[in-house]
Order: sequence, then structure tokens, then C-alpha cells
Amino acid sequence: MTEEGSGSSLPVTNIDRWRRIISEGALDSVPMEEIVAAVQDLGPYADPRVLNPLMLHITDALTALLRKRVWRTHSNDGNDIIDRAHAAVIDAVLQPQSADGKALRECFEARVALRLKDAIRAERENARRHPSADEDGDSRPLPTPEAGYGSHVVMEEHAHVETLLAMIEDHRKRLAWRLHMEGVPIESKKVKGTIAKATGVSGRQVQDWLDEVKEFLKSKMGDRA
Amino acid sequence: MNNENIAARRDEVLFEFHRQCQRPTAEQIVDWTERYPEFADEIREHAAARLDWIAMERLPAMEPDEALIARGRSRALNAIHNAQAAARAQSDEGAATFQALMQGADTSVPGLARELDIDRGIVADMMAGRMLPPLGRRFMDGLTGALRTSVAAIEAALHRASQAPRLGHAKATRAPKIIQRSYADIVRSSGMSDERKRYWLDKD
Repeated sequence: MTEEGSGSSLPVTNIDRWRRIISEGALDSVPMEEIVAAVQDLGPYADPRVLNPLMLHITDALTALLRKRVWRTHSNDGNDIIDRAHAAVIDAVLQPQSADGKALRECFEARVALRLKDAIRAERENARRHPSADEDGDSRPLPTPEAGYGSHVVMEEHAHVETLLAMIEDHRKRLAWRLHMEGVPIESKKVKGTIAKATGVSGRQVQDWLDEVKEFLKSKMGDRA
Repeated sequence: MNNENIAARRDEVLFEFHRQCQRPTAEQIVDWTERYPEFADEIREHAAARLDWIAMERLPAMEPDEALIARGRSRALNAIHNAQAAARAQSDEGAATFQALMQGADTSVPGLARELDIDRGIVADMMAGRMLPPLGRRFMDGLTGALRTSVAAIEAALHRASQAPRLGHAKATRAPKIIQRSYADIVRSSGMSDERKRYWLDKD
């Protein structure tokens, strides 16, 4: 277990150590896994002057992480997805026997990633079952860069491309495009890591997808010109 | 494998993928999809997400609005409440017992009495369910500090103990009888000095 920043070799259940870290406002310097472990090991009946600040730190960090990764172009600004993922994770923090509870103290970010993807999928299925104007693929208005980021001039172009890529629902097309942008070959007899193998389709199919994405971006970027 | 096992296995595989491939390369994706063909498409989906997130990292971070933060905080405090309820339900008769709280704080009746500097009999009466609420403010403060727990937990333990009070030492001449008294009564009839009694009755 890392002790970076907390400056102590005391066990995770040493409540005085947490009192000190909280009073120094130094929770940011403690790895999230360690804070989750403390909450789990101290238990729900621990001194609320320690337990509550630890839980509030976890929820705020979790909300910030989810917000960073969910586009505002989803329905309700992506807040429904964030709420859904947040609820799944925060409940598990206090369920040390659950698979999620155990995983969160091993690698917080990786488990959150898993639950975030589940939440996105669930919201998408929800939207399909109850189509509303703003989540219906074709009628969805073209997002502007401002939809996600405000009017940051330098980032505008890049943000716009990213917003457009986020509209491509088929993850294999996005994956093909990302790998293509990193210079990964579509096919090759020499290397193992090709776009075709990574996406599980033929080289021809990959080429069609890349053309399609390129055309899509060009047409939408053209809209702005 | 039943559906539940498959879901658990899928979670395990994807969790490891996220841990080990924070910036997945084509070669890693091929490796993982070959190793776990049953989850190949989900591995690709998660790989695409990680690469999306890396691209988003280069953009200014989106800040959560106040309402979103507030909802999260309320959910976190609810989770504590729910976990306490679950812990209560799990123990046979409800709340964590004083015995459990003491064990958690690595102390005992004599240890607790010493730490608070209060008559040992008062702590013993509380443990045995012979004390009726409300507790004195100082006593409650002392207990939450020494047992590292909340007022709610002490109240729940007190309630639980009072539901099943234990007998004191039986007198040979009479049938044993449980007498439950208020905290104030117990303090007043203790063997402590008047000054200490006033202190524990919050009257100084």
C-alpha cells in the first residue's frame, strides 16, 4: 500500500491518522484506493467526523472523473449517465464484500471505467425503449464545440472533431479511426497489431469505415466553414 | 456457467483490461481479444472508450455543476445510512452491541471507565441495559470519542441493550429483578464524589 503524501506508515484503520489528514486538508494527496479501504475497514459506524469527510471526498472526486468523461451531447447533458454510474460506485464503496467493493480498493479508476460504460449502455437502451427528441440519433442536432467546452478558441477545432467522433455510435468505427490516427497499419503480414485484427474485421471493411468517418467529419466540418 | 457467473467473469476480464491497458495499443487489443474471444467485442468497446478518454484529456476538463455535485453528496451520505441499516439488519437483534463497539475500539468496561474517568459501575449498567436514555451530554461525547463512533450508533446500542437487560449480581434473599434507571439516577447513586457527579450530570 502506498503512503505517498500521507507521510505515515500507520495502518489504514488508524482513525487518528485520518483525522490529521482531514484537518490538514490533505486528502487529495492520498490514493483513492487507500481512502476506499479506510472507509470499508473503519465501517459505517466509524466516527462521522472522519467517515463523512472521507465519503464526501470520494463522491466529489468520482463526480469530477465522470464529468470529465461524459459528453454533454448525451441527453440531459450526460447527467443521467453520471448519476447512474455514480450510484453504482458509491454504494459499492460501503459494500466491502461485493465484487465492486473489493475492486474499488484495488484500482478505483478501472472499476469506475467499467461501471461508466455500463451506465452509458443502460442509458442508450433506455433511450431506445423510450425515444425522446433529443436522444434520437438522426434528429439529434449537430453539437457545437461550445456544447462541451465553452468557447475556448485554441481548442475549438480539436473539441469539435472530438464532439463529432463522439456521435459515432459504432465503437469499432471509432476504434479503427483512433488507431488509424496513431499510425497503426490497416493490415500487415509483419506485425500483429493491425487495425483489422484489433477490430476483428477484414482490411477492406476497415478501409470502408475509415472512408465513412473521414467523409462524415469532412461534411460536418464543412458545415461550419 | 450461468448468467451471473458470466457477468462476474466479464467484469473481472474488463477490469483487468482497464488496469493493464490504460492506453491500449492495437497489439494489446489483439492479445486480449484472442485470449478472451467470448468477450472480444466488449474488449474492443472498452478499448475505444479508453482511447476516447485519452483524446478528451487534451481538452479543457468539463467541470461538474453544483446540482450534480450535490446529488452525489446526498447519495454518499445515504450510502452511509444504508450501510448502517444493513449492518444493523445483519446483527441478530439490530444495532451493533456495546460489546462490538468496544471490541472495535479495542477497549473494555474497565478501560473505557478509566479513559473517561467515570465510575466503572455506570459503564457496566449501560452495557447491561440497565440504563435508560437520555445520556448526559458529556458522557455521550466521551463515548463517541472513546468508542470512535457516532451518537446514532451509541443510541442504537443503548436501545438494543435496554431491550434485553442483563441481571446484576443476584441477592440470595430475593428473586433477581432487573431495575432500569435513568442515566441521571445512576450517576447520582454512584460512589463518585459530588464534584464528579455534578460534572457527569453536566451541572458545573
